Amino acid sequence: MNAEIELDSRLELYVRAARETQPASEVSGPVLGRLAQAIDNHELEASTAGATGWLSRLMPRVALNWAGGSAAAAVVLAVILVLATGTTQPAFAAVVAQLDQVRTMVYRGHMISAGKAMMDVTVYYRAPANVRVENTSLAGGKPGMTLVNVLDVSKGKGIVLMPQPKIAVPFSFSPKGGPADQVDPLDWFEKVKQYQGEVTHLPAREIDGEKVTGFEIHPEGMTVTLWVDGHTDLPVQVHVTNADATFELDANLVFNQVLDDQLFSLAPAPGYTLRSPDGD
Amino acid sequence: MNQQHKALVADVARQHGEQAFQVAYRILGDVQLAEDITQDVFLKLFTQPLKSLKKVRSWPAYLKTLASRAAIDQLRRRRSRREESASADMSLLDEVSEEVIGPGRLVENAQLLERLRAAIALLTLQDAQIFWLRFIEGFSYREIATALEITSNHVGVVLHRVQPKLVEHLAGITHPLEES
Repeated sequence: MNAEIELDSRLELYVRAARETQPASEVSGPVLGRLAQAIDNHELEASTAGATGWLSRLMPRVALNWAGGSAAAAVVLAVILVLATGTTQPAFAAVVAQLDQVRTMVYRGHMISAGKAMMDVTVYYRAPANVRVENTSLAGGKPGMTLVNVLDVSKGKGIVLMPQPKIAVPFSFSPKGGPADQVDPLDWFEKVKQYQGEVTHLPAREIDGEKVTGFEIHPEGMTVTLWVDGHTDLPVQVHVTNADATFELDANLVFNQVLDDQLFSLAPAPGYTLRSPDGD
Repeated sequence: MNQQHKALVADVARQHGEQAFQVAYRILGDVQLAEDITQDVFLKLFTQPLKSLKKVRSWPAYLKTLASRAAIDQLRRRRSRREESASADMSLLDEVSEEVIGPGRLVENAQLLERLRAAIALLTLQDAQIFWLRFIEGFSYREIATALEITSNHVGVVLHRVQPKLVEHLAGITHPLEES
């Protein structure tokens, strides 16, 4: 994208209003005075330069305690290690902050309806606008046809690929709404990032040998459970249920991998027959 | 060493504190909240090593980025509390300088800005921050990319995507003062 994006004319009045707004000098003056006072009063001893600051202050106590009892020293050392490595329980706000910054996401899982696995799904997402969804039907208990949807949300363009008959159907959609007849595979993702309600912390468990913390939230009638790695503050698993529990999504998540441009290409690979959305 | 750290933060606050406060104030429309955000931004500088603070190339850009992020985050938390929006309007009229623009425009701006805040609060944090830094604070693509550790291309893609969303959000927002 070479040309810079201009301000939409419908937003000009709002932007002008924001630019023209500034606090009166009789307001700013005292605010800045209190800021200077707060800086002057700040106790640098109480602040920390990070985990190493904590560590260096606590280590002498460990040396003294060691002489008095190894059990006491072990407890102190365990506390130091927890502080130093930061593997405490993440806060939900920290998870949301990380999700807001992700560059890519891949999730692989199953869609379940009325207790039966109905579809395998793999979703590739590259911020801000590229999505690829690969669905394989599991109706009848065995893998059926795979359908691939590739979307560029910023352009309002997509393509449906059917690898077995090698048919490709390009289509357009309104960027604000997405394809009208499609379930948005990123709906739960957006709802988690926007969530402001109550969060239930679930007991920690292990997934693939890593300790994870659970968060359960209820955005707009859904129930979303995230299992979060304390090292990264990013979820490794998600479970989504709709309001009446007739539909579930169970998926593993990986973030910020480098994804091949070809995954999001709106041009079909050689050998595909192009069809219009009307079937021509 | 500690005194050097404090002296640097105090000096930066003297030179650029007002800019950080202005950004927070424009976004939140509330003096107390904007002051809290500003103090928080500066006190957090004490948690960073002095060495890294000395490497900051542009303090205005750095502080405006931090202040806008914190303020937009606060705005998004408040978005369901409409009674605060209405009261913020009244305080805005008392607190904003009338020296440059007339009282009629002041009222108009207050209403427009409240709508914009409500719409901004519906965006993701990064999208809102990129829009605000570009079109209201006047950052270049490169400044935004550097501040947010993203590419200039990404900045452009977001700006292209976010404006239709804002227009749609604004169309659906009525002003609390207009309803009474």
